[in-house]
Amino acid sequence: MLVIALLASMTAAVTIGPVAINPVVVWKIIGAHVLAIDGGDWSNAHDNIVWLIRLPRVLLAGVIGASLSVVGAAMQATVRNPVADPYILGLSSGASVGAVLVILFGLNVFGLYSLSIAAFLGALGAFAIVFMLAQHRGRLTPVRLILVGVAASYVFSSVTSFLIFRAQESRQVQAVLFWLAGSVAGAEWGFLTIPAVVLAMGTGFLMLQARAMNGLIAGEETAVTLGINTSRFRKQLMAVASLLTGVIVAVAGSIGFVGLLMPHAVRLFVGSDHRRLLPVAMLAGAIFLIWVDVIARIVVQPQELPIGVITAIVGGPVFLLLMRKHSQAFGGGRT
Amino acid sequence: MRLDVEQVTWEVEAKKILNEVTLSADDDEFVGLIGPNGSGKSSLLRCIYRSLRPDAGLISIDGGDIAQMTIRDSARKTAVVLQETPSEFDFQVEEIVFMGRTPHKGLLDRETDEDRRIVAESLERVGMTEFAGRNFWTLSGGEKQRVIVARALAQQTRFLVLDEPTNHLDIKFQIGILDLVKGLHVTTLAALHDLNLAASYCDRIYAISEGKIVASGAPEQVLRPELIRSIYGIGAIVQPHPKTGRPHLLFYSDNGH
Repeated sequence: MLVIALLASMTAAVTIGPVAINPVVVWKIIGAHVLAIDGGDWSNAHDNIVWLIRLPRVLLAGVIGASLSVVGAAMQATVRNPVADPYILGLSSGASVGAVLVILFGLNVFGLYSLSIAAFLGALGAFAIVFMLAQHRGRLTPVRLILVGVAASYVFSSVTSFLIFRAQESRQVQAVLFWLAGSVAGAEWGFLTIPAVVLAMGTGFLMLQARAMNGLIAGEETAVTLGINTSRFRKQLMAVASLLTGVIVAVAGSIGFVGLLMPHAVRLFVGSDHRRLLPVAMLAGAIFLIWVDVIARIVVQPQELPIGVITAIVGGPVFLLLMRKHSQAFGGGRT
Repeated sequence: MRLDVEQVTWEVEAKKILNEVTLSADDDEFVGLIGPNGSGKSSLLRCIYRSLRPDAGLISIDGGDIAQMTIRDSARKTAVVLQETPSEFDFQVEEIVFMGRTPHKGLLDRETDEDRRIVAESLERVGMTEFAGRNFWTLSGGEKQRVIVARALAQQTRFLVLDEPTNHLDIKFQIGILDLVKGLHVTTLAALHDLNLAASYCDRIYAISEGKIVASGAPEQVLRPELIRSIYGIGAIVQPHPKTGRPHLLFYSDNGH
């Protein structure tokens, strides 16, 4: 059912915009491109809007939303903490440093992809630093991971703030702020392949490990008694989650909220078992971000809001409502 | 399944929490571990279920050194009931018990009818069948403990480690759980606070104090007033239980209470 909802959302999202396009036409255009058929009863302009502008953007929003939601769930299991999100290890702050350097100093060594590559390298750098500093005698414990990640986040954020503060042109500052809030506005087909492949592989790995993830969040000692090598498993999870996060941040900046609360919203309906949680969170995250992006596009036309500004405004109240309705969840039944 | 612990030492900052501990449990034997808080009971159990790695000594199951096994292999041989399972995430009772199947499942394995049968049976044995769909956190302390026992049962091992399994339980379930474990006819090593329960259920008892085994043997050999005085610092009178003939302890403080 969620798959149908996802397809419907994608279609609807493509039809919405300054130029409204009939959903049937949307599918005809997509069909024509996929099957490499020429022409049809629609205009070239519509074709371009659907195929070159809106569809890649909707797909990217979906891929990013799905990835954030899955990584959020994985990160929460990795550090066994419900307030963890994809950025808890300082990856987005690391990426920001890279991105801001590119925006402010125009280090366009890699052409069109400079920003993404710099952001990805920044995220990887943050990952390497946190990974090394959080280890103690080869072991990673959740509390150390969180503390080192948060500390690293603050350091990178300070560097970013310093760079912005020193920036000369307000146009550049605006660009940086827009990037920091996250956006899928730059979407084109070239930006889609890597995130989609990484999402598929990362989610595949996590799905295989779903049972072990259940054991991990049941408790550190319990996990060991269930046959899970917690230290090694946590390192694997961290590496996979960081790769996914690095790619997300590289193409879409740091979009907040989705990775933190989407897994919780899904848990309200399907529980904490990762074998159900991960696939449902993936679909729900995709649908959510597709609609948030629609709002970001249309709410202050012809301008655009960064998607990261909307996620929390829309998602926060919805989540709080859900939580009130499921009063037993999140320790509500605890004595 | 036979357990052998030989000369195991575990140190924290040069303090020997476990000091050359040697202990064994025969096939189907119910072995108790008693000793005051901080004596090293839990640390010893942690070494056995591999949450801790001893600094010296050897722990083997059926002659196989556990340090040479993968964690997963150990979990197929040893099931553990811990005092409490903390988690900030919500699980259903049945999901918790299904976790006991984890060491038996490969990456691509799905739950089989066999798994479901084992889980249902485990819940039934602890009397928690009707709680299967409940949120774990809505249960009372005693109910939680029974669910954790059910998870250990679902692991289907020939060796069971229990760390204070009767904590939080009322007397009916204290006896119920120990009867159940005894009836499994698997090798059991249990850390027990309640010396009378230890006397009733254990085939043999090890007394541990300050990281060292200070006495071992049948309950009537170990549970003597002098030993109780020396490791707990309180007075005890030992009588045969009028019904079971097992040693029964009556405690008193030196202030006349």
